[in-house]
Amino acid sequence: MKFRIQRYDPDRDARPYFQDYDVAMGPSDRMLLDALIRIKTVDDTLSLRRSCREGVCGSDAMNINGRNGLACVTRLTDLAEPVVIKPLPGLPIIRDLIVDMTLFFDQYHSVKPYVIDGGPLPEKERLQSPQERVQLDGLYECILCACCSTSCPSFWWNPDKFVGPAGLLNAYRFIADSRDQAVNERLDDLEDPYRLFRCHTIMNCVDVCPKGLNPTLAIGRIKELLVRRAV
Amino acid sequence: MGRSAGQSMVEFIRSHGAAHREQPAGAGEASLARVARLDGQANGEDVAVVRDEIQRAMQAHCGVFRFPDLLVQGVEKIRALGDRVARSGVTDKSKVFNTARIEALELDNLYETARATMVCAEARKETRGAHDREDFHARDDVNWLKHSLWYRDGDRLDYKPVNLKPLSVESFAPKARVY
Repeated sequence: MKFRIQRYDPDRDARPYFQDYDVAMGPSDRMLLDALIRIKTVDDTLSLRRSCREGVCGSDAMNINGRNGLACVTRLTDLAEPVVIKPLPGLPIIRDLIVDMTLFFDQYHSVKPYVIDGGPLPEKERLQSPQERVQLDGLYECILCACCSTSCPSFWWNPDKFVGPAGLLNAYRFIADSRDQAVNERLDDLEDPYRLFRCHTIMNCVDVCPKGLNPTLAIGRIKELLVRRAV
Repeated sequence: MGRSAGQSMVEFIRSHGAAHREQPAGAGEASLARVARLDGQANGEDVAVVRDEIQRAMQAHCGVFRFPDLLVQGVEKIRALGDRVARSGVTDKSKVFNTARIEALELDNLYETARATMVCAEARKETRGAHDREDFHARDDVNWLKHSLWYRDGDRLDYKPVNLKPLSVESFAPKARVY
Protein backbone atom coordinates (compact mmCIF):
# COMPACT_ATOMS: atom_id res chain seq x y z
CA MET A 1 0.00 0.00 0.00
CA LYS A 2 1.32 3.44 -0.95
CA PHE A 3 1.81 6.28 1.50
CA ARG A 4 3.22 9.79 1.18
CA ILE A 5 4.21 11.07 4.59
CA GLN A 6 5.45 14.50 5.57
CA ARG A 7 8.83 14.26 7.31
CA TYR A 8 10.77 16.83 9.28
CA ASP A 9 13.61 16.50 11.77
CA PRO A 10 14.84 19.92 12.86
CA ASP A 11 18.35 18.50 13.43
CA ARG A 12 18.69 17.33 9.83
CA ASP A 13 16.21 19.10 7.60
CA ALA A 14 15.98 22.73 6.55
CA ARG A 15 12.28 22.30 5.78
CA PRO A 16 9.64 19.57 5.74
CA TYR A 17 9.50 17.21 2.75
CA PHE A 18 7.43 14.25 1.63
CA GLN A 19 8.69 10.68 1.75
CA ASP A 20 7.03 7.88 -0.20
CA TYR A 21 6.54 4.44 1.29
CA ASP A 22 5.22 1.31 -0.39
CA VAL A 23 4.69 -1.31 2.31
CA ALA A 24 2.88 -4.66 2.17
CA MET A 25 0.13 -4.82 4.77
CA GLY A 26 -0.26 -7.83 7.05
CA PRO A 27 -3.49 -9.81 7.42
CA SER A 28 -4.36 -8.09 10.70
CA ASP A 29 -3.72 -4.53 9.49
CA ARG A 30 -7.13 -2.83 9.52
CA MET A 31 -6.59 0.76 10.53
CA LEU A 32 -4.21 3.48 9.40
CA LEU A 33 -2.37 3.22 12.73
CA ASP A 34 -1.60 -0.46 12.00
CA ALA A 35 -0.06 0.66 8.71
CA LEU A 36 2.00 3.41 10.37
CA ILE A 37 3.31 0.97 12.99
CA ARG A 38 4.24 -1.39 10.13
CA ILE A 39 6.02 1.44 8.32
CA LYS A 40 7.90 2.16 11.54
CA THR A 41 9.26 -1.40 11.54
CA VAL A 42 10.78 -0.60 8.12
CA ASP A 43 11.92 2.93 8.97
CA ASP A 44 12.23 3.53 12.70
CA THR A 45 13.00 7.23 12.18
CA LEU A 46 9.32 8.00 11.46
CA SER A 47 7.99 9.68 14.61
CA LEU A 48 4.36 9.83 15.66
CA ARG A 49 2.39 9.86 18.87
CA ARG A 50 0.14 6.89 19.59
CA SER A 51 -1.00 5.07 22.69
CA CYS A 52 -4.35 3.31 23.15
CA ARG A 53 -4.86 2.38 19.46
CA GLU A 54 -8.65 2.50 19.86
CA GLY A 55 -9.79 6.12 19.65
CA VAL A 56 -9.78 6.81 23.37
CA CYS A 57 -6.52 8.59 24.14
CA GLY A 58 -6.50 11.10 21.29
CA SER A 59 -2.74 10.83 20.66
CA ASP A 60 -2.62 9.92 16.96
CA ALA A 61 -4.53 12.83 15.45
CA MET A 62 -3.10 13.79 12.06
CA ASN A 63 -4.10 15.12 8.68
CA ILE A 64 -5.11 12.17 6.49
CA ASN A 65 -5.76 12.80 2.79
CA GLY A 66 -6.56 16.39 3.68
CA ARG A 67 -8.86 15.73 6.64
CA ASN A 68 -7.98 15.67 10.30
CA GLY A 69 -8.66 12.36 12.00
CA LEU A 70 -7.36 9.69 14.34
CA ALA A 71 -5.15 7.13 12.57
CA CYS A 72 -6.37 4.35 14.88
CA VAL A 73 -10.04 4.65 13.89
CA THR A 74 -9.48 5.39 10.19
CA ARG A 75 -10.04 2.27 8.07
CA LEU A 76 -7.38 1.55 5.45
CA THR A 77 -10.07 0.40 2.99
CA ASP A 78 -11.64 3.88 3.10
CA LEU A 79 -8.44 5.63 2.00
CA ALA A 80 -7.43 6.56 -1.56
CA GLU A 81 -3.79 5.86 -2.45
CA PRO A 82 -1.27 7.22 -2.05
CA VAL A 83 -2.44 8.07 1.45
CA VAL A 84 -1.08 11.55 2.11
CA ILE A 85 -0.33 12.06 5.78
CA LYS A 86 0.66 15.36 7.34
CA PRO A 87 0.86 16.64 10.91
CA LEU A 88 -2.13 18.54 12.28
CA PRO A 89 -2.25 21.93 10.53
CA GLY A 90 -1.67 25.25 12.26
CA LEU A 91 0.54 24.17 15.17
CA PRO A 92 4.36 24.25 15.20
CA ILE A 93 5.90 20.97 14.05
CA ILE A 94 8.30 19.36 16.52
CA ARG A 95 9.18 16.45 14.28
CA ASP A 96 7.49 14.41 11.52
CA LEU A 97 3.83 13.96 12.59
CA ILE A 98 4.34 15.40 16.07
CA VAL A 99 3.14 18.95 16.69
CA ASP A 100 3.62 21.23 19.68
CA MET A 101 0.23 21.17 21.45
CA THR A 102 1.09 23.94 23.94
CA LEU A 103 -1.18 26.58 22.35
CA PHE A 104 -4.03 24.06 22.19
CA PHE A 105 -3.73 23.02 25.83
CA ASP A 106 -3.19 26.61 27.02
CA GLN A 107 -6.59 27.47 25.52
CA TYR A 108 -8.16 24.36 27.06
CA HIS A 109 -6.82 25.21 30.52
CA SER A 110 -7.92 28.84 30.13
CA VAL A 111 -11.61 27.83 30.38
CA LYS A 112 -11.02 26.27 33.83
CA PRO A 113 -12.19 22.80 32.80
CA TYR A 114 -13.27 21.63 36.23
CA VAL A 115 -16.31 22.08 38.49
CA ILE A 116 -16.09 25.31 40.46
CA ASP A 117 -18.10 25.23 43.67
CA GLY A 118 -17.42 28.07 46.08
CA GLY A 119 -19.07 26.35 49.03
CA PRO A 120 -17.48 24.05 51.61
CA LEU A 121 -16.59 20.53 50.58
CA PRO A 122 -19.64 18.28 50.89
CA GLU A 123 -19.38 15.13 53.00
CA LYS A 124 -20.48 12.90 50.14
CA GLU A 125 -20.53 13.17 46.34
CA ARG A 126 -22.22 16.08 44.61
CA LEU A 127 -25.24 14.32 43.18
CA GLN A 128 -26.98 14.96 39.86
CA SER A 129 -30.41 13.84 38.72
CA PRO A 130 -30.52 11.76 35.52
CA GLN A 131 -32.04 14.82 33.79
CA GLU A 132 -29.12 17.00 34.91
CA ARG A 133 -26.60 14.38 33.91
CA VAL A 134 -28.01 14.01 30.40
CA GLN A 135 -27.20 17.68 29.74
CA LEU A 136 -23.53 16.66 29.58
CA ASP A 137 -23.99 14.08 26.81
CA GLY A 138 -22.21 15.13 23.64
CA LEU A 139 -19.87 17.30 25.72
CA TYR A 140 -17.98 15.11 28.18
CA GLU A 141 -16.84 12.64 25.49
CA CYS A 142 -14.16 15.02 24.12
CA ILE A 143 -10.73 13.35 24.13
CA LEU A 144 -8.75 16.53 23.37
CA CYS A 145 -7.19 15.12 20.22
CA ALA A 146 -7.18 18.62 18.65
CA CYS A 147 -8.63 17.46 15.31
CA CYS A 148 -11.30 20.19 15.56
CA SER A 149 -9.25 23.16 16.69
CA THR A 150 -6.51 22.49 14.13
CA SER A 151 -9.08 22.30 11.31
CA CYS A 152 -10.56 25.69 12.27
CA PRO A 153 -9.39 28.67 10.19
CA SER A 154 -10.19 31.03 13.07
CA PHE A 155 -7.92 28.98 15.35
CA TRP A 156 -5.16 28.96 12.71
CA TRP A 157 -5.37 32.75 12.64
CA ASN A 158 -5.56 33.43 16.41
CA PRO A 159 -4.47 30.35 18.34
CA ASP A 160 -3.22 32.59 21.15
CA LYS A 161 -6.50 34.52 21.54
CA PHE A 162 -9.37 32.34 20.25
CA VAL A 163 -10.27 29.50 22.62
CA GLY A 164 -11.10 27.25 19.67
CA PRO A 165 -13.80 24.56 19.28
CA ALA A 166 -12.29 22.03 21.72
CA GLY A 167 -11.82 24.63 24.46
CA LEU A 168 -15.29 26.09 23.94
CA LEU A 169 -16.95 22.68 23.92
CA ASN A 170 -15.29 22.02 27.26
CA ALA A 171 -16.25 25.48 28.53
CA TYR A 172 -19.90 24.69 27.78
CA ARG A 173 -19.51 21.26 29.38
CA PHE A 174 -18.99 23.02 32.73
CA ILE A 175 -21.50 25.81 32.07
CA ALA A 176 -24.09 23.06 31.52
CA ASP A 177 -23.06 21.18 34.66
CA SER A 178 -25.67 21.47 37.44
CA ARG A 179 -22.92 21.20 40.05
CA ASP A 180 -20.99 24.21 38.79
CA GLN A 181 -21.51 27.52 40.60
CA ALA A 182 -19.45 29.80 38.32
CA VAL A 183 -21.63 30.15 35.22
CA ASN A 184 -21.60 33.95 35.29
CA GLU A 185 -17.83 34.16 35.72
CA ARG A 186 -17.41 31.69 32.87
CA LEU A 187 -19.68 33.76 30.61
CA ASP A 188 -17.84 36.97 31.59
CA ASP A 189 -14.57 35.33 30.61
CA LEU A 190 -15.88 34.26 27.21
CA GLU A 191 -17.70 37.50 26.31
CA ASP A 192 -14.81 38.71 24.22
CA PRO A 193 -14.30 39.48 20.51
CA TYR A 194 -11.54 36.88 20.36
CA ARG A 195 -12.10 34.20 22.99
CA LEU A 196 -15.63 33.26 21.84
CA PHE A 197 -16.67 35.45 18.93
CA ARG A 198 -13.94 34.41 16.50
CA CYS A 199 -16.19 31.41 15.85
CA HIS A 200 -17.86 32.14 12.52
CA THR A 201 -19.74 28.82 12.36
CA ILE A 202 -17.45 27.40 9.70
CA MET A 203 -18.20 23.96 11.17
CA ASN A 204 -14.99 22.24 10.12
CA CYS A 205 -14.86 21.12 13.77
CA VAL A 206 -18.14 19.22 13.43
CA ASP A 207 -16.99 17.72 10.17
CA VAL A 208 -13.79 16.19 11.55
CA CYS A 209 -14.59 15.27 15.17
CA PRO A 210 -13.71 11.54 15.48
CA LYS A 211 -16.10 11.21 18.43
CA GLY A 212 -19.03 12.68 16.49
CA LEU A 213 -19.37 15.72 18.76
CA ASN A 214 -20.72 19.13 17.77
CA PRO A 215 -18.60 22.02 19.09
CA THR A 216 -20.51 24.54 16.94
CA LEU A 217 -23.75 23.64 18.75
CA ALA A 218 -22.05 24.09 22.13
CA ILE A 219 -20.67 27.46 21.02
CA GLY A 220 -24.17 28.46 19.85
CA ARG A 221 -25.55 27.58 23.30
CA ILE A 222 -22.93 29.80 24.95
CA LYS A 223 -23.84 32.69 22.63
CA GLU A 224 -27.52 32.10 23.42
CA LEU A 225 -26.82 32.28 27.17
CA LEU A 226 -24.95 35.56 26.66
CA VAL A 227 -27.94 37.04 24.80
CA ARG A 228 -30.40 35.78 27.40
CA ARG A 229 -28.57 37.32 30.31
CA ALA A 230 -28.25 40.64 28.43
CA VAL A 231 -31.97 41.11 27.74
CA MET B 1 12.24 12.14 26.12
CA GLY B 2 10.54 12.13 29.47
CA ARG B 3 11.55 15.77 29.52
CA SER B 4 8.11 17.00 30.41
CA ALA B 5 7.76 14.43 33.22
CA GLY B 6 11.21 15.35 34.53
CA GLN B 7 10.40 19.05 34.50
CA SER B 8 7.15 18.42 36.38
CA MET B 9 9.02 16.40 39.01
CA VAL B 10 11.61 19.15 39.50
CA GLU B 11 8.82 21.71 39.86
CA PHE B 12 6.94 19.49 42.34
CA ILE B 13 10.01 18.89 44.48
CA ARG B 14 10.87 22.62 44.48
CA SER B 15 7.36 23.63 45.57
CA HIS B 16 6.94 20.85 48.16
CA GLY B 17 10.36 20.95 49.74
CA ALA B 18 12.90 18.26 49.08
CA ALA B 19 11.89 15.48 51.47
CA HIS B 20 13.54 12.74 49.45
CA ARG B 21 16.46 10.60 50.57
CA GLU B 22 19.98 11.58 49.66
CA GLN B 23 20.83 9.87 46.38
CA PRO B 24 24.02 7.81 46.14
CA ALA B 25 26.71 9.24 43.90
CA GLY B 26 26.10 8.34 40.26
CA ALA B 27 22.43 7.44 40.85
CA GLY B 28 21.54 8.26 37.25
CA GLU B 29 24.48 6.44 35.67
CA ALA B 30 22.63 3.19 34.95
CA SER B 31 19.88 5.06 33.05
CA LEU B 32 22.38 7.10 31.06
CA ALA B 33 24.34 3.94 30.27
CA ARG B 34 21.23 2.39 28.69
CA VAL B 35 20.84 5.39 26.39
CA ALA B 36 24.57 5.52 25.64
CA ARG B 37 24.53 1.81 24.72
CA LEU B 38 21.74 2.46 22.21
CA ASP B 39 23.45 5.50 20.71
CA GLY B 40 26.73 3.62 20.32
CA GLN B 41 25.23 0.35 19.07
CA ALA B 42 26.35 -0.29 15.49
CA ASN B 43 24.43 -2.74 13.28
CA GLY B 44 22.06 -3.64 16.10
CA GLU B 45 19.19 -6.01 15.37
CA ASP B 46 15.87 -4.25 14.77
CA VAL B 47 13.92 -3.61 17.95
CA ALA B 48 10.69 -4.52 16.12
CA VAL B 49 12.10 -7.95 15.14
CA VAL B 50 13.24 -8.85 18.67
CA ARG B 51 9.98 -7.55 20.15
CA ASP B 52 8.04 -9.77 17.77
CA GLU B 53 10.11 -12.80 18.87
CA ILE B 54 9.35 -12.08 22.54
CA GLN B 55 5.66 -11.70 21.78
CA ARG B 56 5.56 -14.96 19.82
CA ALA B 57 7.41 -16.84 22.57
CA MET B 58 5.00 -15.59 25.21
CA GLN B 59 1.96 -16.35 23.06
CA ALA B 60 3.11 -19.89 22.25
CA HIS B 61 4.51 -20.89 25.64
CA CYS B 62 2.84 -18.78 28.30
CA GLY B 63 -0.81 -18.24 27.42
CA VAL B 64 -3.63 -18.74 29.92
CA PHE B 65 -3.55 -22.53 29.48
CA ARG B 66 -0.04 -23.65 30.38
CA PHE B 67 1.66 -26.96 29.70
CA PRO B 68 4.74 -28.20 31.61
CA ASP B 69 6.87 -29.06 28.57
CA LEU B 70 5.97 -25.80 26.79
CA LEU B 71 6.83 -23.79 29.89
CA VAL B 72 10.26 -25.45 30.22
CA GLN B 73 10.97 -24.80 26.53
CA GLY B 74 9.62 -21.25 26.93
CA VAL B 75 12.06 -20.47 29.72
CA GLU B 76 14.94 -21.58 27.47
CA LYS B 77 13.59 -19.59 24.54
CA ILE B 78 13.20 -16.39 26.56
CA ARG B 79 16.65 -16.80 28.12
CA ALA B 80 18.16 -17.23 24.66
CA LEU B 81 16.61 -13.94 23.55
CA GLY B 82 18.57 -12.02 26.21
CA ASP B 83 21.65 -11.55 24.02
CA ARG B 84 19.54 -10.33 21.12
CA VAL B 85 17.79 -7.78 23.35
CA ALA B 86 21.19 -6.58 24.60
CA ARG B 87 22.43 -6.15 21.01
CA SER B 88 19.27 -4.57 19.59
CA GLY B 89 19.61 -1.12 18.14
CA VAL B 90 17.93 1.79 16.39
CA THR B 91 18.94 3.65 13.26
CA ASP B 92 17.33 6.82 14.58
CA LYS B 93 19.91 8.66 16.71
CA SER B 94 18.07 12.01 16.72
CA LYS B 95 17.76 13.97 19.97
CA VAL B 96 14.32 15.28 18.96
CA PHE B 97 11.24 13.26 19.96
CA ASN B 98 12.98 9.97 19.18
CA THR B 99 10.19 7.40 19.52
CA ALA B 100 12.46 4.65 18.17
CA ARG B 101 14.65 5.14 21.23
CA ILE B 102 11.60 4.98 23.52
CA GLU B 103 10.57 1.71 21.92
CA ALA B 104 14.10 0.34 22.36
CA LEU B 105 14.07 1.24 26.07
CA GLU B 106 10.61 -0.32 26.34
CA LEU B 107 12.02 -3.49 24.79
CA ASP B 108 14.37 -3.90 27.78
CA ASN B 109 11.40 -3.58 30.13
CA LEU B 110 9.23 -5.88 28.03
CA TYR B 111 11.96 -8.50 28.03
CA GLU B 112 12.39 -8.48 31.82
CA THR B 113 8.63 -8.64 32.33
CA ALA B 114 8.34 -11.55 29.90
CA ARG B 115 11.21 -13.40 31.53
CA ALA B 116 9.82 -12.88 35.04
CA THR B 117 6.40 -14.11 33.89
CA MET B 118 7.76 -17.19 32.17
CA VAL B 119 10.13 -18.24 34.98
CA CYS B 120 7.52 -17.70 37.71
CA ALA B 121 4.86 -19.57 35.70
CA GLU B 122 7.14 -22.54 35.14
CA ALA B 123 7.90 -22.73 38.87
CA ARG B 124 4.31 -22.33 40.11
CA LYS B 125 2.96 -25.89 40.30
CA GLU B 126 -0.74 -25.11 40.66
CA THR B 127 -3.63 -23.46 38.83
CA ARG B 128 -4.61 -19.96 39.95
CA GLY B 129 -6.67 -17.40 38.05
CA ALA B 130 -5.27 -16.87 34.57
CA HIS B 131 -2.44 -19.31 35.29
CA ASP B 132 -4.11 -22.59 34.30
CA ARG B 133 -1.67 -25.50 34.38
CA GLU B 134 -2.53 -28.65 32.51
CA ASP B 135 -0.52 -30.80 34.97
CA PHE B 136 -1.79 -29.15 38.19
CA HIS B 137 -5.46 -28.46 37.71
CA ALA B 138 -6.28 -27.44 41.27
CA ARG B 139 -5.60 -24.33 43.22
CA ASP B 140 -3.17 -25.08 46.04
CA ASP B 141 -3.48 -22.61 48.94
CA VAL B 142 -1.28 -24.73 51.21
CA ASN B 143 1.86 -24.38 49.10
CA TRP B 144 1.18 -21.52 46.70
CA LEU B 145 -0.79 -18.82 48.48
CA LYS B 146 2.20 -16.49 48.07
CA HIS B 147 3.61 -13.86 45.73
CA SER B 148 6.43 -14.79 43.37
CA LEU B 149 9.49 -12.53 43.39
CA TRP B 150 11.87 -12.76 40.43
CA TYR B 151 15.46 -11.58 40.49
CA ARG B 152 17.36 -10.95 37.27
CA ASP B 153 20.61 -12.49 38.51
CA GLY B 154 20.38 -16.17 37.61
CA ASP B 155 16.55 -16.11 37.39
CA ARG B 156 16.47 -16.55 41.16
CA LEU B 157 12.99 -16.86 42.68
CA ASP B 158 11.81 -15.89 46.11
CA TYR B 159 8.34 -15.71 47.63
CA LYS B 160 6.56 -13.46 50.04
CA PRO B 161 3.31 -14.00 51.92
CA VAL B 162 0.02 -12.50 50.77
CA ASN B 163 -1.29 -9.78 53.09
CA LEU B 164 -4.65 -11.13 54.25
CA LYS B 165 -5.39 -8.27 56.67
CA PRO B 166 -7.21 -5.40 54.96
CA LEU B 167 -6.94 -2.07 56.77
CA SER B 168 -10.56 -0.97 56.89
CA VAL B 169 -12.85 -3.97 56.29
CA GLU B 170 -13.38 -7.41 57.81
CA SER B 171 -11.09 -10.01 56.34
CA PHE B 172 -12.31 -13.42 55.20
CA ALA B 173 -10.41 -16.59 54.52
CA PRO B 174 -9.33 -17.04 50.89
CA LYS B 175 -11.07 -19.82 49.03
CA ALA B 176 -11.37 -21.09 45.47
CA ARG B 177 -13.78 -19.27 43.22
CA VAL B 178 -16.38 -21.67 41.91
CA TYR B 179 -18.71 -20.65 39.11
